Amino acid sequence: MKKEDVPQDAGKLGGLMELAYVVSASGAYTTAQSSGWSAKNVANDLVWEELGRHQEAALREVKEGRKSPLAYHMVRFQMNEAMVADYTGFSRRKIRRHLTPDGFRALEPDDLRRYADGFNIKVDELCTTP
Amino acid sequence: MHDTVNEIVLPFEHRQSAHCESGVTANLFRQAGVPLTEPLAFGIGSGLFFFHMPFIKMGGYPLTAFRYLPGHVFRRAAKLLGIPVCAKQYRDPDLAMADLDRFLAAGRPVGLQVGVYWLPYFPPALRFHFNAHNLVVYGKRGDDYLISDPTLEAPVVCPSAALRKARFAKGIMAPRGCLYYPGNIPAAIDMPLAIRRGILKTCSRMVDIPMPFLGVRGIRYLAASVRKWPKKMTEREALLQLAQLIRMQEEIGTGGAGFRFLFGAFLQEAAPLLGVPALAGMSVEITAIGDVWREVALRSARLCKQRPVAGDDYESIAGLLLQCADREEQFFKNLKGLCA
Repeated sequence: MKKEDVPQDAGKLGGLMELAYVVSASGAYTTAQSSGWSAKNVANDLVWEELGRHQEAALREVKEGRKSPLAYHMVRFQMNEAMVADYTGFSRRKIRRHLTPDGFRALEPDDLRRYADGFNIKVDELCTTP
Repeated sequence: MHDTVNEIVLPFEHRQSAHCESGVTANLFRQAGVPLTEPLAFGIGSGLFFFHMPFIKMGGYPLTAFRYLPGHVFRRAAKLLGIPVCAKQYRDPDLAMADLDRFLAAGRPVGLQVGVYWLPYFPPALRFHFNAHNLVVYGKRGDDYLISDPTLEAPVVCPSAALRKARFAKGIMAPRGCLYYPGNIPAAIDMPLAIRRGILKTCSRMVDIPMPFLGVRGIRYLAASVRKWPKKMTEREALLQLAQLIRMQEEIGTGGAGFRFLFGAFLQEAAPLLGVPALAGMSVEITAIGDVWREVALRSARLCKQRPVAGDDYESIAGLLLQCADREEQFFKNLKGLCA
């Protein structure tokens, strides 16, 4: 890539400048800052849109009473059952029970705190959905 | 209480880099008196690689990487330069944070492995569960740590609670509080030998491992997968796979074209140090191959955006990938010949 071709397509990076290794007019390697590249922005947008869809689907299941708020937060924090297990110390079997509305209602305050700590949020936030 | 002596600022030269690990390696070693740039750290540490392992999923997508395993660049570069590595992991987060404070109080900036997801100074769009990010802590002000994150233009601060969470991120490649720094620097360092061995390691990994998903064979394997995507999944799923490929290749931390440009910069820097002028020509060739990788990303992006121009399809992307594989195979064989 030539120095004059360094893309400056700001995307979702919020003004963050990354470093690119490029070739100057004399053929020598140098570095240049780039605010982003459209090809990468397209890819990022698509992946984030997909995450958003998963989040909406999870939210719908909570609203319809088929899943507990934990299911929504798990998707919101881009985790799967195995990761939630790592972050909270609960077994996956227990987590699957807590993903149901009944299982979640039966949780003790201490258990709720373990989940909240795992997601780095407050217990109140864990028990609600938007 | 005792808030009069709660500031430590160690002298540390922050230099922005493309890749977090080679950046931390270069910055830490330079601080210790070894004249290292990011490309040299990357090349000596044999950071360049390729693998495609669709049977391992990361965030639900097949694992494709343009680099060797996390943590390798620092350890390998240190080994080849004859510098001992001091590295620690912890069970207890309290102990891990106390130990960090102890190192800072003793005047030693240290590298940390952290999970990106919990670092508040990254924009939300970059916050994925990637646990092999690297940064240097060079001070503390009140409850905030002073951080030289080499992928950023300037140093940042990070509250201790967030840093603690990031150091104990969970999941694949969990850092477990990993902290590291270079030990005593030897009196004499044989830089040319280290460069030569770094290059040879990279070459043999790229062409000599007889496994279908590693090195140039992995690129061919990816090409075959790309060809199958539109047949075995829905259009949206196939596009998401392409999008993920672009991100692995170009997302912050590669310097462009999946580290190929960074490697080109390394070869150019290595040519006079080794006294092998032909390496400059090899730098030109890997740059040209990198431009083909960029074309792969461009075409994939046009497909993702539903705005293909004539000739954009999975078949043509696979064709470009095969071109990359063939040229890289020849490239690394030639490079090996030059440095053997």
